[in-house]
Amino acid sequence: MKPLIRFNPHLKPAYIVILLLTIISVQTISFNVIFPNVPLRMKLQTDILSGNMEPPYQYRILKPYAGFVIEKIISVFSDDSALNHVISYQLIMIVVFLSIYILFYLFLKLFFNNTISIIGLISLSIIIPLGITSIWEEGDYYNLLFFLIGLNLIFLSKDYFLPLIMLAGVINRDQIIFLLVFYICYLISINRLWDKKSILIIIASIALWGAGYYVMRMIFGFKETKYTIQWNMAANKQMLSQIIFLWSSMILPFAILSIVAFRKSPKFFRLALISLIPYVAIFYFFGFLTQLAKFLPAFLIMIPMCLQLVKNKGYFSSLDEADQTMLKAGELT
Amino acid sequence: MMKTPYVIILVLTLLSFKLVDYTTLDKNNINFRNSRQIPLAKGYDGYSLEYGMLTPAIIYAVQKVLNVPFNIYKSQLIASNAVNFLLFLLIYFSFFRYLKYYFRDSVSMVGLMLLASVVTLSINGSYPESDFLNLLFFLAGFHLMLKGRDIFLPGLILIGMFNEMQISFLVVFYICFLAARGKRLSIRNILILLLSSLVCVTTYMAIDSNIGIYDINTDLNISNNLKNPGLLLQMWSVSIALIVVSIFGFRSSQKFFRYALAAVFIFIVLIFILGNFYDSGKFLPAYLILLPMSLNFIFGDIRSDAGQHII
Repeated sequence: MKPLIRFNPHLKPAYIVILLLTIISVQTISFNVIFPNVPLRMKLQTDILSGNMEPPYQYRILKPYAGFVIEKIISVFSDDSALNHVISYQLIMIVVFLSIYILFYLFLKLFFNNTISIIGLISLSIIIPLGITSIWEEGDYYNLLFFLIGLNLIFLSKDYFLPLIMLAGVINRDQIIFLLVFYICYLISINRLWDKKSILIIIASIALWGAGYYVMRMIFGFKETKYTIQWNMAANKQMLSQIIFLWSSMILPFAILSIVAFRKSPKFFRLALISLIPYVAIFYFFGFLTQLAKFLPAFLIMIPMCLQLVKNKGYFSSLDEADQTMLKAGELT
Repeated sequence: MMKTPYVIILVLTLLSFKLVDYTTLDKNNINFRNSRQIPLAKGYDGYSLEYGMLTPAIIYAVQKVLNVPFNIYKSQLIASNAVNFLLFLLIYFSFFRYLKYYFRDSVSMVGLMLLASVVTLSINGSYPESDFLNLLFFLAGFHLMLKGRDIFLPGLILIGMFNEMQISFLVVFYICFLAARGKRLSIRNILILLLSSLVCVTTYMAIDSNIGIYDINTDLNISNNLKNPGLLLQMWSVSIALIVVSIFGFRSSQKFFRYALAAVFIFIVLIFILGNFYDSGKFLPAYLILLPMSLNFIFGDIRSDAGQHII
């Protein structure tokens, strides 16, 4: 009988690093996001599920619902509601981060050899702690996961699933719509933007995103948000020095390296990097620039671009033995 | 060709120093650091920072040198950030060079980035810099051993003792290093060992007679450390994972690491008995053994010839 999952021994380094990084990230999130104020988190969850939360948090229901369902299952074994809350959200984070690292690895492997892909993976894990700004932000990691699922689907030519990603993603963060911009960049890079199939997928994605957006508001009511564009701009202006310091350490190095690697990068990444300019502008008007977890999807473009700098250097150019074995086996092209 | 690692080291430094700034240097803590800095630097303050007077003294000196024309808050912030930046730059640079003794460049880079990853979990307390300075001293010690400059070890330990007394454990790693060589101990080796041990003891006694060493209550430490086993297990999850991977890498590792892994277990027991097990920064030096051993397992089959002459 054939095994369901084939364990490729040549990918051992990646498997172990993925597991290690998952543990590191889950520990980081547990100690900085989940543990610090469990009662407040439980209240936030109840408020969102009962429809008493302010927008936009009210419409981000995927995380509290997922947590609620797991809590219900765990409550069979334990009466301690705080403990159930912690365990359920930690379990979800294990699944989310494991998926993030596996999918990012698979994405990087489309362009790089094993070692460079692992370096890219660790880069992502190092950035995550700097993006933590609140005790209720795991949704940003769900968002990152949706972007990764989307990018993998795009590059594996399974783009017809994109509308479903939009529908699932919009009940977590509206931001998922930006995945379509990446999709358009991809279509332009392979000269397929005006194909009938591509246009249909784009229209279906927008339709399902819009449907999800409006259904959420129909269920929970069209509430007025205090976080208007003016409010966000004023807040960003007030935190300017903090933003400059934070962005210069976390974003600027990656941005500079991406620009340096611009010419060496595939067309998709060049276009996607340009698309990050409006992304930052939207971020400025619709959010706080200090909340860098919301900017994590941008690293899915910047990290591979930075890695282009090492790809063709003698330093990393030789394929790993694992890759060479796979080449011989015809698994890698 | 050599530019790439240095760019990565610089990026990692920026990220790590920013993380310390972000998590530790808030207004409350800066005020605390300001109020304690001079007594700590001069060894007057028996606060929970114990005898780690070197870090506050360095930051205080940098403040004086920079002579920042701002208020005391900004002065402390800028000096601390400057020290942190330099610390991380040196740590990552020397860790990369250390890994290069054993692995090819790209694997060393993976190890370096894994260290940067675990550093994010090791930022504790009001003066996390002392843990990172301690790590740097351990790294310097390993470099001295590997380069045959072990004659400087007693001097290094002497300075390190004023930061964290944990540096005395470098003597144990030195014994592992000597044992791994499989040669007879020379008079020079014995002298270095004796002198290093003497430095540990005399510095300890000097601090004791000037400040007064607090009583170590091992029972209290153990009961405190066992207060919340669930939390403890989670705090140590990464270390446990790395220990497991290191054990898998035991056979493919160099002799020095095999002996040093045994020393790491003693190191853990000592932290458990003598200190706070929840202070993960204290475990940082162990990563200098665990990470190379893990790399040996992870990339064992594709390790380069580099370092084959190294024990």
